[in-house]
Amino acid sequence: MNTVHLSRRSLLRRLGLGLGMLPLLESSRARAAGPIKRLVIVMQTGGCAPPDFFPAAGNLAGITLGQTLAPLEPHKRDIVVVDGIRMSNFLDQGNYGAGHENYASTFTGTSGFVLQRSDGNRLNGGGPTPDQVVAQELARTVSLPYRSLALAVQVDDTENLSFFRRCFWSGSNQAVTPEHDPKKIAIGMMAGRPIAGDNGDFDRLLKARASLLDYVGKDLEAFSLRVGRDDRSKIQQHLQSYQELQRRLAAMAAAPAPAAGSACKPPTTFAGNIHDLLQYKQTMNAHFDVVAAAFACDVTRVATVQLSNGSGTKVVFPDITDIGTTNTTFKDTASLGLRNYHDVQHNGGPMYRDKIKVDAWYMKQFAGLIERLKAIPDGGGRTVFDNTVILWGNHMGDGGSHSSDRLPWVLAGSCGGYFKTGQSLKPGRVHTNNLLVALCNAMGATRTSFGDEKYGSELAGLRA
Amino acid sequence: MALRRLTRTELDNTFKQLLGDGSRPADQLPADVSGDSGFLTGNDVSIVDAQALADMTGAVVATALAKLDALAGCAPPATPEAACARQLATAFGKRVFRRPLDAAEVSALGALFDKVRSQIGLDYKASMGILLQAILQSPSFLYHWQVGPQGARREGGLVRLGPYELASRLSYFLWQSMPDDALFDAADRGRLATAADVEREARRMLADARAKPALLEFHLQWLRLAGVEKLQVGTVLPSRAAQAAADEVAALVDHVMAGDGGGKLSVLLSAPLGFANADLAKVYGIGGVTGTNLRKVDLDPAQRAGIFTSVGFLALNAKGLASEPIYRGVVLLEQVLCEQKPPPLPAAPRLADPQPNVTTREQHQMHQSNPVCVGCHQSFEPLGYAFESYDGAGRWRTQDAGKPVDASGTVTTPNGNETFTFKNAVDLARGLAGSKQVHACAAKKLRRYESGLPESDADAANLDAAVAAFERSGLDLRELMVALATGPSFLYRAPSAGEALP
Repeated sequence: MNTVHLSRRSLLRRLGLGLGMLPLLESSRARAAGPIKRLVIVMQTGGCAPPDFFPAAGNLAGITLGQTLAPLEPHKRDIVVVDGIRMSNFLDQGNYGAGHENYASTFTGTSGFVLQRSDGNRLNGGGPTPDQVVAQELARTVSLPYRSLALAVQVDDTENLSFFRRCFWSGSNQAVTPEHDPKKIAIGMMAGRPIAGDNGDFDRLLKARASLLDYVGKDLEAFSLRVGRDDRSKIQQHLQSYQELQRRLAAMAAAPAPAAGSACKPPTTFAGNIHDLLQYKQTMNAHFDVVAAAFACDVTRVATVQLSNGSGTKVVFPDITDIGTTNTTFKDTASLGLRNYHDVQHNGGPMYRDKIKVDAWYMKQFAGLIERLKAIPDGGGRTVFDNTVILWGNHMGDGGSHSSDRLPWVLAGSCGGYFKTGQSLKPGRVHTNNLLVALCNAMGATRTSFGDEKYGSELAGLRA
Repeated sequence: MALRRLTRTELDNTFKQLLGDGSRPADQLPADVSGDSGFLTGNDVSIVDAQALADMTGAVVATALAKLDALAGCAPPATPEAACARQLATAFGKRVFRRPLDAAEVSALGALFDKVRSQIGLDYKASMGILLQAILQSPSFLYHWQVGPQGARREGGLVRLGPYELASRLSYFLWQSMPDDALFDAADRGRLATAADVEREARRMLADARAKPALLEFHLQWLRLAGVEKLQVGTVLPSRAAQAAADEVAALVDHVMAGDGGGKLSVLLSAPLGFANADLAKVYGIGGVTGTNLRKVDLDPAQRAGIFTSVGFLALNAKGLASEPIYRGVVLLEQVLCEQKPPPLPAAPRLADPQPNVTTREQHQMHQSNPVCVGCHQSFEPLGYAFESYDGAGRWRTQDAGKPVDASGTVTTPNGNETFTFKNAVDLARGLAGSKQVHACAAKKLRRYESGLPESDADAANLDAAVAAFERSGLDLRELMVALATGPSFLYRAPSAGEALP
């Protein structure tokens, strides 16, 4: 474990940032009132085995969970399961009924976007997702190092089927680019890059770095004035990313030093290989470690994790030994001698036998994430988990048919008492929008609808 | 959108040429994406990309500072520090931006150095490091810019490219790297303006060693052959043999573009030759090849014809040891015939699982018989059937599932322009090599690759002229590249909406 303890001054030194921003950032943080709330959205893929997945309606205390959700048994007073969630914004497009094409629009609730699979394999979610809406709202009052933390495991950006690589959006056609390497975040959280020629004289290096940043920003602005309108927006995005990077580093440097006994610790440095398909679980859990550490240190309050692209053909489970080793149809992992998740979705055996095993495995990882957050004290006898809501999401309902309804979404955590947890709801048909809006409301980004307003407001019965 | 960021390969090649830094620093950047052209381009710069670019620049500069004086071409005290900084900005900056800096740019960079050195008090080397970082993070370096301060001018409704813009466009087309001294020199002296100037430079550059990796990169993207070295098909094609298969693809392309192949498309698509070592010879089923080094081998002309019957293509477009006619057919349709595969249907019926006594073609039968499937699949899947004579590792076979292989077929392209009837892949390969649609497609792909844009209507006459030159040359791909580089679509461009032009 790499637990270098960095003073704020040494952080500043490493980050090469001006001290001038410090008072401003601190005063803005001090204004936050009440518990610090946090949001996590996890994107699994591949749907579920509906007959096993959905518990009976009612208080979960008196209901035995099926095989899929069984790993959440110790946490069942902390979760909410809703049966009947339909991705109407996608289905109402009419172009596709099922499949992988819905991945991009899972959490946008937006209709009217254009499916472009045949045209360069690009797909637009059509609007922002709750993580970005909430992050933007939070940014109005607090300057956190990461407005949101976007992580991904086994989302191969070199694959040409880009239409199911992205499911988090800051706006129409503006995908959030996830970080694949947990080390990059860990490094980003704890240190910046030393300036070439660093001779230890940090005050001067700080100012030099500030001058460099100033120059590069002006260079980008001047360049943007010489190009056409479309290109200008591209350079503006480049500039904004650059400025956000500076703001992030400044916010990190300005973050209050952890108090004695604080739960804020850098995450264990991930020593694995994120590209190794056999280290899927390790990489996923390293991401969860990063999320937990980021929350413990208040580096961010919003995190997303993609657990695969929208297909799962490159996801394998070396530690699930009884789902066979042969891929019947989807053979991307044939050379590993392991069945991949996509094959399991379609060919899950009688009564979804293998699919249930894999989904229960995912729920075990989910339980691990919950336990990580429960282990972090958050003041007032509460834990970070108590002030968090996790949406464990999925873009498919039935794994075998890749349907877009009865999505197996699970909420965990009350988000500071907003949600009434420990219940299973069967409200009939509801739209993804009715839950997405609840996430925003719970996080204080209050609104009456999310995405296309025709899909209505928050699902009744969610609130405590 | 016209503005593209340099790809990782372009950056790596450029760092090598610019700084002698062969460590491939840009490999640490997020993966490039498929652009509007279907060829790779740098991502739009998200925060993740911005961070990675800053990291990369820091690493490159840390290395470059070791030979600072050589880079600057001066050193204090012989040259005053401030003058040396301006010399670095002017001379090194020109190579980085691929154009001379204007006075304001040199002055701003000089001012940055002065501030860091005099006001802030960093030492000379660290101050020059800041200056290098500023230059290497400039959009004038990171993008294929189209307007420099010099030279571009309106002619009618078009913009005529200035000499440095031409130099840059040409060098990234043919080398995937920055212009060399000769190209800069031609631009400086006003000898890079006419089609004849561009032709002279293009021919010189195609003969240069730097063309080799760039031409390979084009072919890998065009024919979707990237990643062969990562294959592993059980014990039939272990990873060592997969590396040989990837090397063979490179050797084939080099044979065509620089060796005895004479640049000929027909050699690329239909010559019965390969490059094999002992591992690969086993897959091809040929004797007498020993050792680990590849050597040129004659393959059975009844079994093999060109790059699509190479082990690399066949194994890449397969599912384990099973052939995959869909993958193989789609590459041919989209990349060689320039036809777009129709989008998949909602909830299309699924193929039956493979069975021991069922051939791959029989297993796929539904795609040709079920009316729901056939509308789309008929445009590409029969092209893939031509390759049923090869298993998933690229081995020749006459039987599949204990039955004789049927690799025959008839395909009419979706535009109805052309029908191919063939008895197997060798037959099909010859048909493709002689097809006008294939010749036109090669021109389109090269245009897309070099411009980063889909071809426009305004491009049509240009492309036709290039295809005519290509056919006159006996289908020499190098002549096609020269023709594209000397045509009006290369020397001119359409102005962008809202662009400030001189």
